[in-house]
Amino acid sequence: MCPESSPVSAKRCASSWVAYEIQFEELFPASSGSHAVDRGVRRSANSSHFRGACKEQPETAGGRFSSGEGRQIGYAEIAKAPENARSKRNPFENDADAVTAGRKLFEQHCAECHGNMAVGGKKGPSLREEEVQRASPGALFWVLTNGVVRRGMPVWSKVPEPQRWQIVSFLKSLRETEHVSSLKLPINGNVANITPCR
Amino acid sequence: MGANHPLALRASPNRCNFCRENFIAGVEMYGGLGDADSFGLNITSHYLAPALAWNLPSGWTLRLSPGFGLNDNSHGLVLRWGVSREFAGFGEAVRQFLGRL
Repeated sequence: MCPESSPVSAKRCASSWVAYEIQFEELFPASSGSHAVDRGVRRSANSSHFRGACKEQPETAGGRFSSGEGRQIGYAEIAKAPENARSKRNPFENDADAVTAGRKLFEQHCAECHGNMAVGGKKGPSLREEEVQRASPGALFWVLTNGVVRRGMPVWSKVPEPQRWQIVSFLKSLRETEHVSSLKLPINGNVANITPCR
Repeated sequence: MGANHPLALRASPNRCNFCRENFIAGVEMYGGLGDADSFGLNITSHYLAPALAWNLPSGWTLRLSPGFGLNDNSHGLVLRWGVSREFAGFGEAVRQFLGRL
């Protein structure tokens, strides 16, 4: 073992040295419940829900946002979006690829709290409700960007802006898919028929 | 200190490991700042390093950063690599566990 293994005067040591570091990172707000070793991408616990996990849908039945509580807590934040944020247009409007990409991102970042198919979960309200679907894309983007920290929704500004707009595209597409009995969505690059959870 | 940027800001519609948005490139600079007795840049080593991170959709991140020595006190090359994983919900689980105690 090199006795002078610190970076200070490291060249005096003839042999190679190996260092290690362990980082423990708390993502705030704490109630989001995410810890990380160094950095990484958030993984959705429901990432495979399009492969036949519709049975998980009843998570709203006993969830925190199962009653009208979600309306009072979660949705109120949308109305707080400032006018200039609300008036922003989604650069991916009418872009079908953006919806598909947004769904992929939703699974990675959002499904853990908002549930499969955005029907709501124990931590987050349904995003299929009128309050969300009526909201302007700019308002949804604003909430996504700034989070609702005191209610446990993290700030998602670390996700690149175009990806946040893609998530918004997906959210706004939920209204259109509400009454569709089956969807064709790519899974692992292949197109598959999927029946939305009801 | 350093800066990095994803290779693509827009996500691709397909699920993939090698999509450009999964890669982050950057550059970092690091080095010694002395010790407890003598704070400063005297007799310290410093490195400049390009860095590449690969975010896997499974939640793992791989990082590679070859650092090049900038002064006589530095090694010629220092290779830093890392593997990391985020545990979603870990804090909540700990809180619930502690709450039960």
